[in-house]
Amino acid sequence: MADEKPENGAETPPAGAASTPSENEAAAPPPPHPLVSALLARFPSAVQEEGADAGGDPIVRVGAGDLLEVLGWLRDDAATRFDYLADLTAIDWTERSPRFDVVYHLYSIAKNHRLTVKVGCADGEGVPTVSDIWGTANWHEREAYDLYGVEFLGHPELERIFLPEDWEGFPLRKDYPLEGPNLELLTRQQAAFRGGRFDRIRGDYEMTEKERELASPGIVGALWTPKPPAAAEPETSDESNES
Amino acid sequence: MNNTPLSDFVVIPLILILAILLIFPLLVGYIVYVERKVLAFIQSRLGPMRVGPWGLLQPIADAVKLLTKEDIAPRTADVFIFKIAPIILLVVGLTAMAFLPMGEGFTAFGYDVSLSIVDVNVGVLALLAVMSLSTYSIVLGGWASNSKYPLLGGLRSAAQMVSYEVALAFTVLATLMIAGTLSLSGIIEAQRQSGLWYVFVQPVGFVLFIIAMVAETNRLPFDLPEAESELVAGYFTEYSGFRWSFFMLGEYAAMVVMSGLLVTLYLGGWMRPFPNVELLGFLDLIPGFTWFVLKVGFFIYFFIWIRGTYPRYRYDQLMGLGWKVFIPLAIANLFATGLALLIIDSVAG
Amino acid sequence: MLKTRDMELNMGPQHPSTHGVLRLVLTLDGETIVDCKPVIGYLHRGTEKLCETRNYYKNVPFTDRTDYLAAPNNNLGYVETVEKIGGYEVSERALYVRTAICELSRIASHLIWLGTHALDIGAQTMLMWTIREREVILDFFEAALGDRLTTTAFRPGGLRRDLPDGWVKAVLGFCKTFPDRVDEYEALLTKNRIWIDRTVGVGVISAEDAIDMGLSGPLLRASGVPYDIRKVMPYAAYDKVDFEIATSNDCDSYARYEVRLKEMRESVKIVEQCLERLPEGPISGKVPRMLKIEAGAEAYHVIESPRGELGYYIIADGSDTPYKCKIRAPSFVNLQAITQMVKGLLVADVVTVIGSIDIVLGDVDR
Repeated sequence: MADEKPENGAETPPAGAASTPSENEAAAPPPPHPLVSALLARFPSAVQEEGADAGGDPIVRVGAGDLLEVLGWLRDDAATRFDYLADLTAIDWTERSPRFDVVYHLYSIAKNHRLTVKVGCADGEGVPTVSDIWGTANWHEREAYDLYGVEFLGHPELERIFLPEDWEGFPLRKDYPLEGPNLELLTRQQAAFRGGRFDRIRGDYEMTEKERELASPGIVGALWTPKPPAAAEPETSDESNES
Repeated sequence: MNNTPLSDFVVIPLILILAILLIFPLLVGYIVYVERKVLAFIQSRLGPMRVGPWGLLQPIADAVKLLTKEDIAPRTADVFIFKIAPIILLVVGLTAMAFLPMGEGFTAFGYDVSLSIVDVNVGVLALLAVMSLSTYSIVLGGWASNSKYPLLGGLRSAAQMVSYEVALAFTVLATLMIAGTLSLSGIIEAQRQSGLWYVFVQPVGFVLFIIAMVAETNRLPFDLPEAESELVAGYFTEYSGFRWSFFMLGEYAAMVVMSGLLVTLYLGGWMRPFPNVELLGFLDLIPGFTWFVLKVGFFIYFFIWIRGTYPRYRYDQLMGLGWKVFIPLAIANLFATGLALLIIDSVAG
Repeated sequence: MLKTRDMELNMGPQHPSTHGVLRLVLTLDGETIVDCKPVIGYLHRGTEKLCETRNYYKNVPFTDRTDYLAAPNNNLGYVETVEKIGGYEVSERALYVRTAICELSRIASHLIWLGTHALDIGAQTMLMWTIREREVILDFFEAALGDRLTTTAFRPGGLRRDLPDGWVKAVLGFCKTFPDRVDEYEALLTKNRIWIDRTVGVGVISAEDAIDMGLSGPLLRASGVPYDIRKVMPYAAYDKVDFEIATSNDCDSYARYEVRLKEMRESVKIVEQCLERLPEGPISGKVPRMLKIEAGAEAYHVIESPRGELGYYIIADGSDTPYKCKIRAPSFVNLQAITQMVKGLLVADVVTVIGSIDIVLGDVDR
C-alpha cells in the first residue's frame, strides 16, 4: 500500500479489520492529550480515551448514562470551554454491538481546541438529547434520527427533518438499499404504465390498492425483500472498480 | 374669430379627446419601452433589442400578445366588478388629463383652439378629485378577485394612496395660496407674471410633491403592495391579458397626469424658461406644447430613474413616513408660506 | 368580545425570495411573526449515502452539488479531509492555486448573495451589476477548471490540471478593477436611507445565542465573534498570505452586509498575493491511483466556506470507498437560527433575514 502513515497521535489498527474499527493501542500507549487528561482527571470512570483522529484531535468515548454530565462539564469548565457544538452525527457499525455510535464534535472558540466524543447506542435504545446544552443540537439530532433511527430522549420535537413524515425506514443505515425501498416501481407513472390503465395523468384518477402500494415510496413490501443478514454485503463495496 | 359655444364646448374638445384617445395607448406603449430601455442601461444591459431595430417594435408586439390572450376571470370572482375595476382606473386617468393645459392656444381655420380640453376655474380641485377616484379601482380589483392576498394587497395600496393624497393636498394648497387661483391656466399665468417658476418659491413643496407623487402612483420605492418578491402579488394578481393591460395603462396615465400637474404647478406648465426675458424670445419658436412634453417627459424619466436605484420601503415604514413625516412637513410648509405671504403683504401694502 | 387568532401562513416551497425550495410555516399575529418553522428536505438527494458507494475520487463531484454557488470551496473541504486521513502531501503550487480559486469562488458567491438580497428588498439594479462581475469570474473558472458552476476543482493530492497560459495575468487584471466595482455597490446601498431602514435592526442575534446555535461565517462575525477558520486553523495557503477578518458588533442584517462586502475586498487581496507568489512545480503530490485508506482513519476537517464552517467527517474502512462521509453544512446549521431571528418582525422582514443568512438549499438538504 502506498499511503503513508497518518500524523502522530493516531494509532494504526490492523488493516482489513473492517468490522470493529474502534481504536486499539498498537504499541505502548502514548501520553494522553492534555485536554483528555483534564477530562480523565474529572471523570476517571466514565470516560475512556480512544486515541486521536488523523488531524491530531483527541477522541474520547463516554457511556450514555454519563453523557449529559460530561458534556455539560466540557461546556462549562474554564479549562475546556467547549461552547461550540460543531457537528453531531451517528455511525452505523452494523455487526458491532452496540450498533450505533453517536459522535459529537466539540470546539472551543476561546481556546481553539477540538474534541470528539463518542457514545455507543444500541438499535432501539436512545441517548439523551443535548439540545439543552447546545441549541444547535436540535436539528442535528433530528437529522441523525431521520437518517439512522437513533432516538434522542428528551428532544423537544423529534421528527423527521429531510424525509416526509410518513416515510418508513432509515436511509443511512447500512442495510437500507441505495436505490430506495421499491426497486421495481418508483413512481405512480411507472405503476400506470405497468398496468396500462391510462396514458395521461388526471387529477381524478383512482388508483387500485395494488398500484397505490407499489407506487408509494417508503413502504417496504410488495416487490422488495431485504436480503437475510448472513448474506449481507460487507461495507466495502465492489463497485469502485466499475465505472 | 369664428368661435361659437358649439365649437368651444363640443367640437374642439371632441377633436382633442379623440386625439388623446388615439395617441394615448401608443404613447403608453412607448413609455413602457423607454422604461425598459432606461432600466436596462442603468442595470448595465441592453433591454429589448430583437423586435425591430433596437426593439422599437416591442410595444406593438406586446400589445398584440396582450390582446390575443385568453380572457380569464376566476370563477368565484364577482364578475361585474372584476370587469369594471380596470376600466375605472383607465377612465379616471384619462379624464384627469382633460384638465391639464398642454400648450398655449392657437388659431386654426379662424377658430381659437385652447389646448386644455376643459378649462374650469377650479382645475386643481377637479383634477385631484378625479384622481382620487382611482382608489376605487384598486379596492374593487382586489375585492373582486375573491382571494385573500389580492384583497390585502388592494387594501394596502388604497391606504397608501389615500395617505399620500393628504400630503399632496397640503402641499398643493401652499402653491395655491401664492397663485391666488385654483384654475390651472391661471396658475401658469400667475407664474408668468411673477416671472419665477414656483419651484424656486416653494422648494420644499416641490420635493414633497415629487415624493407624494411617487407614492400615489405605487411606484418604487413605494410599491410594496405590488412587489413580486413579497408574499402577495397585489390587487391585479388575477388579471391577465387585456384587462391587465388596462391596469398598466391606468398606472401610466396616472404617472403622466401627476407629472403634468407637477409641471403646471411648479415648473410653469407649457411656458418656456424665463418667459419674461425678451432676450430669449427666440425660444418662443418652440411651441408651448413641446415645452410641456419635454418637462413631463423629464419627470417620467425621473420615475424610471428612481425605480432603478432604490430598494423598496416596508409597508409600515411607508405609512409611518407618510403620516409622521410628510404630512407634518406639508402643514409646516403651508404655515410658512402663509406667514411669508402675510409679511410680504403688510410690508408692501 | 372580539377574539383574535393567530394565522398560519405558508411561505414556499415555491417562492421567489426563499432562494430555493424552502418552506417556512409562519404563525402570524396580524403582521407580526410569532413563530417561524422551516420545513426543509425538498432538495435532499442522499449525497452522504451516495458517497459511501463510490471511491474517494468519484465523490468529489457530489460535493459540487451541495453548495452549488461556491463549489470549489466544497471540493477543497472534501479533498483536504481525504488528504488528512490518508496522509497525502499536497504540492506547493497546488496550495496556492487552491487558495486563489477558493477565494475567487468566495467573491462569486458573495456577489450573487448581494444581488439576490438586494433584489428581494427591491433594488433590482444590484442583481444585474453583480452578475456582470460574476460572469467574469465564471469565465475564469471555465478556463482553468473546465466548468462554470459545478467545478470539481481539485482531487486528493492537488489539482486536476494546471492553469492555462495567460490565466494568471487575466485574473490579476480582474483584481485591479474589482475594488472599484465594490465601491460602486457601496455607493448604491451603504448610505442609502431605504436600505438602512430595511436592514438595520432586522434579524438580530447576539453573540452568545449565535455560538449556542452553532452559527458560523459572516453571521457569527457580524455578531462580534472573530472566528474565521482561515485564521484560527489555517489550511491550504492561508497562513502564507496577509488579510484581515471582517467583523462587526451590530448583529443585524446591515452588519452582515458590511462584513461580506469587506470580505470581498479582502478576498481580492488574497488572490493577488497567491497569484503573484505562485511557485512553479508539480500540480499534485504523490498520490496512488487507487486510494485505499486504512480502516479506522477518521478526521473531521473544517474550512471556511462563504457561508460559514464547512466540515467533512470521513471515516475510512480499508477500501477505496469511505465508510462514512458526513458533510457538516453551514447553511443547515445557520438556517436553524431563523426562528430566533424573525420573532417579532414583520412579514416583509422574513425575506430580508433569509437573504442575509445566505442559505443555499443544496447545502441545507444535501
